[in-house]
Amino acid sequence: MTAAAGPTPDVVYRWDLDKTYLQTEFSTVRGLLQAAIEGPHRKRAIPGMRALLKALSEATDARVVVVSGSPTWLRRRILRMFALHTIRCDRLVLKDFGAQVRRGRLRAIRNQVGYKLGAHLETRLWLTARGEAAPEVCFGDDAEVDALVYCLYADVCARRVSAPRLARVLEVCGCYPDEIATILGRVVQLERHDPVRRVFIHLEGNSPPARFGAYRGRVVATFNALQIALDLATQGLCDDRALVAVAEELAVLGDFGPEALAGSMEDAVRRGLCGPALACRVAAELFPHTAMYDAGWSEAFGSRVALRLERSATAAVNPPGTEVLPYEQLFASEHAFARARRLARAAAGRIPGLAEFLAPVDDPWS
Amino acid sequence: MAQPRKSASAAARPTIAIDTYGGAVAPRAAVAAAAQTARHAVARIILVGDAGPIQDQLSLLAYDPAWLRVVHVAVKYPRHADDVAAVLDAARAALPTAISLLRDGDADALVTASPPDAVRDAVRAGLPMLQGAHTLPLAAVFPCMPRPGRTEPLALLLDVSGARTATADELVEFALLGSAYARVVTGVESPAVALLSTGLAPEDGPPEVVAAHRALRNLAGVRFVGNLRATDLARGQADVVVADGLVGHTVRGLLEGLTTMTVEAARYAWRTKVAWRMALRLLSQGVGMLKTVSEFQEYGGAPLLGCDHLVLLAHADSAPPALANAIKLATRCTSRGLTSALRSALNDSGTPTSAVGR
Repeated sequence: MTAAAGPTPDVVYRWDLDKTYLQTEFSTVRGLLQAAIEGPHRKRAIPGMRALLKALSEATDARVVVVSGSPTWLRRRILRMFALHTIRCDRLVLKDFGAQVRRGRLRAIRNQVGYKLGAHLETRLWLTARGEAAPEVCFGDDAEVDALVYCLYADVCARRVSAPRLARVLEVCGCYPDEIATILGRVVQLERHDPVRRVFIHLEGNSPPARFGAYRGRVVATFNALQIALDLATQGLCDDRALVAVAEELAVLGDFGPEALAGSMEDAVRRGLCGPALACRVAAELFPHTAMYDAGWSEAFGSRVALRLERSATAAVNPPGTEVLPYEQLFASEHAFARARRLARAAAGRIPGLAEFLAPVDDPWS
Repeated sequence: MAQPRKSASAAARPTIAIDTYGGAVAPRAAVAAAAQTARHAVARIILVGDAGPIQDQLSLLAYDPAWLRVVHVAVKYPRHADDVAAVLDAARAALPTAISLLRDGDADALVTASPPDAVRDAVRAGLPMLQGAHTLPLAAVFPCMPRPGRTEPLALLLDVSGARTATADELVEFALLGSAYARVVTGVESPAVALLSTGLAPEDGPPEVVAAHRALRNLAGVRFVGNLRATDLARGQADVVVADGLVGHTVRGLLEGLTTMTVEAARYAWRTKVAWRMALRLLSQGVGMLKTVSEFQEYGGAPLLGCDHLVLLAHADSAPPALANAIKLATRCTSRGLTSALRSALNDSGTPTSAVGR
């Protein structure tokens, strides 16, 4: 536990760490080693995410819960990193790799569904014990099974998934029997409540947005922090100051020029993440009068972008369904997607032309 | 108030507009090519077309919205690619928007796989001609024997538009434009330029070819190597081959037809006899190379020269790789200053009329 009880929050932000907040490379041994040994000051956040989480955590009526698959022995470093980033983390849950190794449960080291669902339920119980039954906004990425876990967590809390069905799903996902028993025990302790309002999945691994269509509108796929901020602003959870901070961080650390930011905003409007009215106001009235001006966002440019945003076709967004998702199938397709991606990477060097297709093309400017 | 700072990335990359009404299956091919190119940050992409279907296609692909924009055009995509009239109507309705992006400076180049006639009409109506240019020749690359000092076994043929026969002045203009284009794209300092004719002697061929031969021989800035017969085309004796629109179009059609026939013959042999199949297996590497070198997919697009902006035409049946290559070619042309090179080529050599008169 990392925070003392405070005022009752209006919202709980539930974050994953690697590839959602931090730039972590898991697909190589070097990346894994680097993530394990680098100091807190060396850890790099995904551009825009630090500003976003900082703005969200600074709201006194919000709680920030972080559930990560990183090992427990990184706790101090991660907390130190949050302190360096001036981010308030109310609760941090990490994976106890040592305990799994000692018990010879190698499958549990890789398996995320059982661990993360258990951790989410445990933090939910922690919040309930403090009388903080606030709605939740969840943040994950496309590298693992975050979308599936968050949706399952929402369905379990709302009792849309029965205990026998949950046990079956967890079994399919490769959980150990005692892990399933622990999760079912936590479910019993939970009051029936439907806390999850939104699930953001950061498209870090070059997935198409349609990959998350199977979650029937419950998951919002986003390409960068500005798109998340625009969606949250639509929900009234993010103010102008946060929008500017996110855009500025993207411009400075992510090398996002004005056109890149405008492109992201247009995409957000086209996919129905935010309405054109909000986007137009941000483009024409907000950004030109802030530090974004120095990043190239002049009044004339803002007016042009606003005109473009007005013309952007808005997707009709269906409200998320409340029916139970086919989790067994979803797990199988997530597993198949991850396997295909691994195979494609491994085969890239052996199949002529595939490496060129997967790797960045030659830059004619270099 | 201080001037806003320009982002390095925004300033460095060109912006390429893509007309989504052309390609194998509109808008699928163009959107797939754009998504792939934008993901690798080769260029900033503007997709011109009906935003709804474009977004539907984009959602199925990995892309980066920071490098991609959609300009909506309220024109429906033709239901069938072989409905020529519908394809032409859609292209004629959508192209002015794409052209206006070039004219207004929002895009540096346009890549389109729409029917060439519709593109030429839209370019004529919406874009200024290069100073000194009188026509809009369409260029195309064709495979030939490799030559020392050349990286690719390719040569440029223009005009292939099939529009009409050309005057001597126009042939000289084609030579100037083709030579400048080859210099910029291939990096060859002094490309060899030849005239396609019926014989090698200067007096062989129709009067306009003879007059053009005489003018080109005395023209500075073009390394003219004389006439070339159709039989010598594939021998790689020239980097640029100049012909009038009708002849160029026929030659290109013939080359494409031969490629198709070769591939069909190989397929027939594969199906017919086990021995032939084994022989093809042994030759598979060579056959693959032949197919690679002769397929239009590999080259992506060919420029419409003569206008003051870069317009690249891809084959009407272009699949995503071909369109992606066209985008890369457009990026290369933009980065190497093709339009200004063409402008100087015409200005430095004087008008073609004066050249013919000398």
